[in-house]
Amino acid sequence: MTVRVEDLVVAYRRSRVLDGLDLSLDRGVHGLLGPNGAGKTTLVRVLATVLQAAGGTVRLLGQDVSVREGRTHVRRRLGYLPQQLGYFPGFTVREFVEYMAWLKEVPAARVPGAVDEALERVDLTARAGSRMRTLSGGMLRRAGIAQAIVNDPDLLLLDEPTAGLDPEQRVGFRTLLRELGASATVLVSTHLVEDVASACTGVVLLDAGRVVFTGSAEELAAAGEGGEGDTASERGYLALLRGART
Amino acid sequence: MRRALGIELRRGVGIWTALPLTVALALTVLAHPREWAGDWYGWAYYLRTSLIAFGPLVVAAAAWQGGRESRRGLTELLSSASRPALSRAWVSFASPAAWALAALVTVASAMAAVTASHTSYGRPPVLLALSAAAAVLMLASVGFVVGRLAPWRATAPLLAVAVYVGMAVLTYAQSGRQYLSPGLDLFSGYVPAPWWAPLSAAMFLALGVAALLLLADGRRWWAAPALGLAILAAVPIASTGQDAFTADEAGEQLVCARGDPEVCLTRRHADQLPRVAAVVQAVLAGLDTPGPVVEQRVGPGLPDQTGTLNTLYLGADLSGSADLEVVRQDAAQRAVAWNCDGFPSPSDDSLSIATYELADWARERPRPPYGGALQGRTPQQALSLIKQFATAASHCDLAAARALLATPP
Repeated sequence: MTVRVEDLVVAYRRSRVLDGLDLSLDRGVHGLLGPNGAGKTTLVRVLATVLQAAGGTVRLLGQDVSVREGRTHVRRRLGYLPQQLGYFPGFTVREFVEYMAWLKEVPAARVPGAVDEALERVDLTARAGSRMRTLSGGMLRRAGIAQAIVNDPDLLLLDEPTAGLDPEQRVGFRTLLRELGASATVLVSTHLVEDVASACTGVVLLDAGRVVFTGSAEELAAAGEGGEGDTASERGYLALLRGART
Repeated sequence: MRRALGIELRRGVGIWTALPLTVALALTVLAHPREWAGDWYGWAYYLRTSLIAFGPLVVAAAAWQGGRESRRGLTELLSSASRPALSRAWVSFASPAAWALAALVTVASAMAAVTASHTSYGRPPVLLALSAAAAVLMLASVGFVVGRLAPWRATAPLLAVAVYVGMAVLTYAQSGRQYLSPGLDLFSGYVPAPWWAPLSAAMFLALGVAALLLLADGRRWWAAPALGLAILAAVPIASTGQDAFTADEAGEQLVCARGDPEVCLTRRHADQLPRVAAVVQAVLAGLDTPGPVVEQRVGPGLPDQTGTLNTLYLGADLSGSADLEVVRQDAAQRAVAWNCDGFPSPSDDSLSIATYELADWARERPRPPYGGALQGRTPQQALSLIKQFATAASHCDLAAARALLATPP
């Protein structure tokens, strides 16, 4: 298993955001769904090793991330796109991705090729020399994805990756996700159920800090037969949430 | 590392501050050429002195760079990467530090070129200059770390003010602690003991390294040995104080030009002797100045010559040469200087005014008619009056001086 989380607890002050969460993920693309405040971003941040758990165990890529050495090992093989992508506005797109490659300890000789490939995969090659501050919201998101995949990660965590992308870019992004999922474990946190339905092999549904459903996209769709919602996936999503709350 | 370093050097805060820093430092040294031009120790000391103005700017630039990741919302993304926090900090720190150093080296090189073209005595005290560079690195390091720990926009300006005040207080502390200040303010006649400049540089470097090590994620204790080294270096510097300095005896030896009067400059300024002697002898010609006119010397163990008759203040202009107008002015004032405490005083207005008028005449040697104390006199009579007045002044004989002025031509 690439991701194995047991009895995970994360608390902000006295409120438990994640409360005894268990999760196991292996290679493939997994959609992380849930209503606002369910704990999606918190879970992604724990898996990205930037937030420490108050309890439970987190093993990623076979490493215990509560130990420094384990954390460092995981970070080398990790790609992460946070919900709010910060950037240095004066850097060019290429420099931003190169800088991140350096931070991820990509071997120096491999950096130029890895940067070119990452930019090509997100269709930003033509804007490689543009300053980050000149990019549109969608382009910034793509630059964020490029930095996340520049080290060819084994574990890729994407928090709201399609926010700001136009329909054409979203279609392209789903294709990219499927490619990445062939060789890595990809966890995509999103509000967009249709993204999950079309690109993800697995679905994790969170509510109130707990996993209330894990299964395939087809199982998600099947769970909502006869319920409310425009698509089968939405109907399944709503039905599972309702079921978890009753 | 090289690639990331290149990106930071091109895109970091440092490159934007390089020009303002260079201009600020250049303006500082141009405002006080007499402190350094034409003298190697003056050059090195003034590099340190100028840090009182330059240092706070370096600190502010570094603090701005230090807070950049947080202000740009990048902390989380960067800390998810495997590269240790310290190497990330080091690369980011390189931007303000390297460009501040570049500003210092640029201005120091220009100053050195001026100095080299106007002095044949001595060699550049490179270790002293390097201690200024080490101080700049330390200031950049402290600024960067404070900016990283307090990443607000107000941090940089507030820190700059705090460092300016702190450094000014330390520099003029009138105790051994003043020698710990990056902005050291010393006269060029002081020569440090051989250990002083390397120890000073080591102290600054150790302090800078200690500050940066505070950013070593989970290994902050590494800062303790570096801080210990800085303290070890600081103790002898502070406890020895001025005793670590001696007069530049070889540099203070006099080289003289014969004539009326004989004019003597220190070896440090011997290159200026022909020009200075010509000016001084023109001013004092025919005034029978007793003894040679000697350059005013300053240094530990040397007698305080301030106000002493027949000593000459040797200013320097922007080209590094002696400022001949200053020399001319000083020689004329010395010609009729009063050898008594507190004179001319406000209660002796008429003598005071007359003294200035006679000094002006000696300096300019104008054609008649004259006004004031020399009214109705010929040039020969004016010269005679000044000679007698100078004798009275050198004996502090106020009555004789008044009598001379009252005597008709």
